[in-house]
Amino acid sequence: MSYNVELPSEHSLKLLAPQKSKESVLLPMRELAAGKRALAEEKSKKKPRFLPAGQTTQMIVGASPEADGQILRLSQAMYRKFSLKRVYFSAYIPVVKHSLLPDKTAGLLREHRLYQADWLMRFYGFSAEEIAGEGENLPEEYDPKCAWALRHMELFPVEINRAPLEMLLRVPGIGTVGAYKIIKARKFAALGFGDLAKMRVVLKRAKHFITCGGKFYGAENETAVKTLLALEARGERYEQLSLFSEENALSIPSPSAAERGNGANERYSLLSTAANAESARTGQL
Amino acid sequence: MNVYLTDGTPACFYTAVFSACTDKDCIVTPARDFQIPLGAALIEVVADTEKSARVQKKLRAIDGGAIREISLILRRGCAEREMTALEYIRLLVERKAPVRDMLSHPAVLEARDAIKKVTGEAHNFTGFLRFMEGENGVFYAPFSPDNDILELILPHFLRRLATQPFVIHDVARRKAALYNTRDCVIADTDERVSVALSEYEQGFQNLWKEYYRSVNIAQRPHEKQMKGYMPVRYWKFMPEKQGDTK
Repeated sequence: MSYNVELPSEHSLKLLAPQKSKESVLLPMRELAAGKRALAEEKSKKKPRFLPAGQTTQMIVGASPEADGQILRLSQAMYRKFSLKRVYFSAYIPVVKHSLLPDKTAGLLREHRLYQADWLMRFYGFSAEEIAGEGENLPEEYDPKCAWALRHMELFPVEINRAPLEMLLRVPGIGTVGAYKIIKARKFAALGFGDLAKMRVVLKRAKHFITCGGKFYGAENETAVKTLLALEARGERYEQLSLFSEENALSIPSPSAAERGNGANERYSLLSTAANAESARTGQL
Repeated sequence: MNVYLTDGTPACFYTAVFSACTDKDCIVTPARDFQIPLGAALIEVVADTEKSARVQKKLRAIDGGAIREISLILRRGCAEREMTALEYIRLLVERKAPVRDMLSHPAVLEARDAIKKVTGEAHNFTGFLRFMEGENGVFYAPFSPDNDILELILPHFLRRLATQPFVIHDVARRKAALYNTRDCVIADTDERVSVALSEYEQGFQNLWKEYYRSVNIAQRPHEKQMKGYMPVRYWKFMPEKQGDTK
């Protein structure tokens, strides 16, 4: 069940969605969470099912000026207080021109980084304070886990055969499955670099942060590591297409533009007709 | 070097394991047509219930879940499955404890991969399998999986089509599961089986082929992607793909 928080702060909510109030969203979420907790404590055999799939929420990212750090702190608080299943982030895409709304889209990369940070909070034991400062945005060129590891290089490299689970989860490139595999396997035999490769732990990034039986296979110094990881990120970079030219903001492409789109063109450019311009001004689709 | 020739069934395999477990450098295989290594002794293994029961009892005492894992490995549709299972059993007997967490050991890794392939294909076929309506109202589903998964997908369809008689036919292995809403039986079938389809089914297949053809965009052929989603070896049971060579 989803009660959409819509915007990351009360101020933005009042500005952009004045018919919704903070209480109208948070109060039902609190009640549902309390109801679920009460039912969990009940010990009878024939319990009715109450909200079996859990609660979720969604917010729009980029329509208002809040930084990623604030968004992550809000998500963390909601996870803790309301036992949410998930928080969904939706990148803002401008459809209508308005003085209160930004002209440009927030970008899918920002949404992707927020989801990566969300995963870190839910599955890797990170807290929002560790991932980003209050007024900070998440870095573009590294994913949040890499960025954290590069900021805390004094903790690395970790010894695969001795490190606790919490530290293994913090190594970039070792996910939840990889960490559990390592924990299980190392009880029986000391793990070497080749063993990790056979177990299908992805070592491309992890090798800069781990030692196997004391041996290190990563780059020589910190700057080399930074360059290698940033280069990799460039390979995965999303190309942000622009659906809108400067003159108008209508979403329906005309047939000739679609034809031009067949083939090698990656950018749409919409014809600016009188009808489109009129719709953009009045906000009617 | 001994070569134990089994007949492919689990009972025969466990009988072979009785001797092969301690026999270093041996090969256990159901195949009859391979290069016999120099100086090898061929041993034809006949299923012996007593020996097989003793082996299984010993394995169950070491690890409760091992028998199920080995039966999954034996369902694998490749030539080395008996050897994979044998190595796993050897490791179990050596350690006298469950070994499924020894992920750096090659025998365990191979066993895990085999199990993953078998259970993965079974999971896929609970979604892929298509039924055709026969003239007598029985649903008929032919398929040819890489691994022997008929018994693994059967419970799903017994629950799903509880009030509908159906036949699921593993064409390559020539066995079929027959269900008549009361009992389910697994039987061997002939080499070629032809089924008369009902009129509704014939009409529906034509409709489906027409739909597939009309929805297709000829200017955007994504052959490689298509084959990645639905491997070519499964196309022979899809009516919309009949007549396609690409």
